[in-house]
Amino acid sequence: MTLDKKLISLSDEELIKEFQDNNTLEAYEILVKRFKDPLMNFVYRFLGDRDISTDIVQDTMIKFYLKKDSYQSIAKFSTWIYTIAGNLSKNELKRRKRRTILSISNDDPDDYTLQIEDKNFVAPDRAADNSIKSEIIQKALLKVKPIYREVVILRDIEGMSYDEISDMTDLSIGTVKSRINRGRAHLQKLLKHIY
Amino acid sequence: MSKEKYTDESEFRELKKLLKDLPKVNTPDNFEFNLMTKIQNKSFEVKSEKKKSWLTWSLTPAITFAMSVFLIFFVFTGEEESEDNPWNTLPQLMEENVAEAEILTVDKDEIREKVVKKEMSKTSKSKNLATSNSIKKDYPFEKKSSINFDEYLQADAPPSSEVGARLAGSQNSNASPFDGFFLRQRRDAQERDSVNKEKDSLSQQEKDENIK
Repeated sequence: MTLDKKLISLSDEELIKEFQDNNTLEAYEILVKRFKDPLMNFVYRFLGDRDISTDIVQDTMIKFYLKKDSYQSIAKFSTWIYTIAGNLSKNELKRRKRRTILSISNDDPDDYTLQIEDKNFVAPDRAADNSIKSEIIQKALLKVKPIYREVVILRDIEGMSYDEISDMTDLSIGTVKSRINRGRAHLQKLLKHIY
Repeated sequence: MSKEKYTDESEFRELKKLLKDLPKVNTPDNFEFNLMTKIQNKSFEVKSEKKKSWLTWSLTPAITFAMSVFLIFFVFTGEEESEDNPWNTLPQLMEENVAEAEILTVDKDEIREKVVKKEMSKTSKSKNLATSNSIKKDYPFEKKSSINFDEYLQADAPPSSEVGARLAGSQNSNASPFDGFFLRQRRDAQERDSVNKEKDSLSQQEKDENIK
């Protein structure tokens, strides 16, 4: 049995331990393979930009490589890596917000509102198409407040448990449930015309 | 009802289905290659550098504050030591002035005392000189004290020098002693003439010798 095959059979936590203890690059590569797409999906749904999401997932992986020793085996590896990706995504949002404030202050406010209305909603007659439908959902997601959006994505798109989300966001389970509920309510209001 | 609100199975079923059916977004094909290249070249993220710069920026105010406190501390303590700044040294100067003034007054007093002593010593010297003159032989005044004229007249003879004369009617021993009147001694006319004559003769001799 080769090393790669042996490693593939290991769990996430065993792989990170192998990487921590023996600095096995193959273990790191396997973990990257396992988590790059789920993380990309999560970050993209949170930010709505493919290129920036790719950069953030890459940064997440680099951070994981550099700070592998900060992971402690008491937590799930998925929780740890999602937390890193989530924090980097939130930082990106903050940066973007600062940039938007600056650009808005330079522009005419009437133009800005018009741009938002035109960009975020597609005409209902085109909503039948699946790709457009997903685009509409994505844009609706981006209209939800980030604190609600994050937990809705983790729960309904990534399929995580309340406990995992609670660990990831450092919130109580009650707060997580409440935020998920509010996010969903807002999203449902935005997507009323789709279903 | 509120419990039901937080469950997944209630009112958001369709929404959940919509979200779950969303197409999965995957990383680009070269993602792993790019990542491993970055790791092998150790050309790590730009964001970490940004973070470092952010860290330095966040530290800069603290550093500048500490530096300014450090500078202010040394500048002010340095000025306190120097006597040039009138704002800081004014009270000290006043104290110093008072001290100097005291010293000066003390000095002045000392000088004054010295001057008085000198004058006193001069006067006493002159008195001594005066008393040491030959006049005392000619007149009934002794160096110690004045003379009691009543006693002097009654006795028809000069009193002993030890008893000392007193002013008329003065029996009080505490009274200040009267030293008497002193007359200026004039040279004799004869003596003066003889000295002049000698001078003339000497000058005449010198002239004769010159002529020869």
